[in-house]
Amino acid sequence: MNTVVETTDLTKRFGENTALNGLTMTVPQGGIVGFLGRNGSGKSTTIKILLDVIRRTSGEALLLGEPTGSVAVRRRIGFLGEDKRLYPYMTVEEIIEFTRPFFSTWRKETESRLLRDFELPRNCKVSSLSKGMRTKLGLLLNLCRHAEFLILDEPSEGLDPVVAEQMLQSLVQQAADGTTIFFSSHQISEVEQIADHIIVIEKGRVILQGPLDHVQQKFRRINLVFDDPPPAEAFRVDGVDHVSLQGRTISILASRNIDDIAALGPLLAAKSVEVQPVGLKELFLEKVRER
Amino acid sequence: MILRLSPSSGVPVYLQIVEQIKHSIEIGALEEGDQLPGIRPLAEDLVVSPNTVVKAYNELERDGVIRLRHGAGAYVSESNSPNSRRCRIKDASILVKNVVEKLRDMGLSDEQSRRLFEAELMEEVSCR
Amino acid sequence: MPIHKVWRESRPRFLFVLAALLLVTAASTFYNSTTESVVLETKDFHQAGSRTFQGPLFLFWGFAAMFLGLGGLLRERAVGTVDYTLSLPVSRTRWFLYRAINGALQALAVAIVPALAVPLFASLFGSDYPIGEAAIHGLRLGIGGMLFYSIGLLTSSLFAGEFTSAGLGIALVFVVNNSTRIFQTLKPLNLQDAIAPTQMIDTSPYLARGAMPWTGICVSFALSVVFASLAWKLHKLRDF
Repeated sequence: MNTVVETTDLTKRFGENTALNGLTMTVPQGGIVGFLGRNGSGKSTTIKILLDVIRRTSGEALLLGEPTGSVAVRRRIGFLGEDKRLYPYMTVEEIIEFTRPFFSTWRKETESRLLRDFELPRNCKVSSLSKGMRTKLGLLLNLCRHAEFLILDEPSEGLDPVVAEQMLQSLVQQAADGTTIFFSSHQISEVEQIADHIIVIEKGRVILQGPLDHVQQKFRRINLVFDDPPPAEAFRVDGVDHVSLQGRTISILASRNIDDIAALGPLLAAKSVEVQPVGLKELFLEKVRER
Repeated sequence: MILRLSPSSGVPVYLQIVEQIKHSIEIGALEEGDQLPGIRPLAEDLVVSPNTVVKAYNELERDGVIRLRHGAGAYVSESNSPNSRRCRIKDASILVKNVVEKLRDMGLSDEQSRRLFEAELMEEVSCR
Repeated sequence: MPIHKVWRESRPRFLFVLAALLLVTAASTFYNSTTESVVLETKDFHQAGSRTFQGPLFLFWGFAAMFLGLGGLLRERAVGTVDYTLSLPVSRTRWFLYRAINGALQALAVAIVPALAVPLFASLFGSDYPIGEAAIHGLRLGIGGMLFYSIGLLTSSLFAGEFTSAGLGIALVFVVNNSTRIFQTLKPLNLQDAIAPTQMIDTSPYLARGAMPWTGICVSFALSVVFASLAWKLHKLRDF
């Protein structure tokens, strides 16, 4: 399997502050990868290192097989930043003219189609565009180059639901064309919908990564209802990630041995045993709280 | 094709697609020989990753529910015609009725019978 | 094209500086030609022109050149577009080179154009000033004075804030201008002597005489290359 991004023990320190603390992650080729993490967890720092905007302190980072900083590799990728800021003094037309020559894979048909679909006014200065329009322009500049890999930092930030949906659809189309998409996000529901692979980062380290459906099928919430609940310690067996008591219910988050753990219920005279799937938001919150 | 997905439920999206397509076939919304949307159009329509649609279609093919004709699209298989499925379900419900009657004759309460069934089914799950 | 973008970004700054310097030149030439009694007596305009080259043009140009050196990628960080620029397949060295060359040419232009305006103003006041002379003064100012420009390049590589880098730049320009006055031993290296015709001006007809101060010009130009290289290194190494 080809990897688009590979980091090994990636560390970044800004003076006293350690933003990335041995980050080891892999982005597989093809598909859509969601990069989840809280504010300050290191998402933007990671992306900036991949683009060589900032330099790593130690560890390794490979982009399309080459060390970050390779100019040639940047001919094959696209990037949309969180602020979606583009040169304010240029018009829509001018910034397209400026960007096009850098990419030999640029397709003018895509350019015409997207200008039409996104309804971008050619002669308007970037400084007078709304954030939604700037996002669409930024998307256009990236989609026309039909890159192998597209990095987006909080793409739906500041967008209304209509534009956000348009944006997600464009990403799906691009993925269908073979581009690997990597986007960081706070919107967990968005990640659950569109991503097929996730990487969760907290305090500069990866705490969860893998195909999304594997993660979803691995974790279960087991709720056991008792008349007289045993202490939580009774349930700390292999495979249990978290146990909590809420009234008469023992609630267990488990990643392995689901059946054995569920069997504890009848063993300990539980009134009811419920095994349920776990939504990503719930899982994310639990995992982050663990730290 | 009308599919309603709940991406935040914790159930993998590809499985939801599989289940809903199977359901569509069961209720006759899709019949044998019908062509399913292509991977790309369905992904765009649902706004999900194309890989997810691929996974769903592969699973459906593995289960014999659809056939993937290389380069020519996906089609509902013959063996899953609604009639044969309805027949099987009809036969199964007769079987269940007979067993429940027998258990009642043996003197078991419905509660006891239910627990027996659950235990049997759970054992099946853990053996898989 | 990358160089076109660099030019577009520097254009307002360049036009402002050019206009300001032309104004200064005009004002100075006018003042010198209407108030100096010697000039009024002898109708010798050359003195007025030379005085302009000696003082105001040199002084203001120094600051102007430094000002033209500001901008660049750090500025882009403050505006927010640096991520997009650096994500393009252009190396940092190339960006720096485009900016350095664009700015240097502009600094040269704002030395030569006002210099050549002196003969024009001369003809407005009914006298004349040799164009060749003006051109040489302008060229010497521009080339020898690249040091000021490179100060701007350097400070803008250190600080993202427009005011901070400009402030430091102004301070450094002052130091450069006055250090030789304070430290007598450095007198031979006085920049003003080297690039503005202070020593060379004869009395009546107030035109340049004597040899070009090549050492001064070369030392100053060399120093500007050193500063520019430092700025380049900073660009290559820093986090944006």
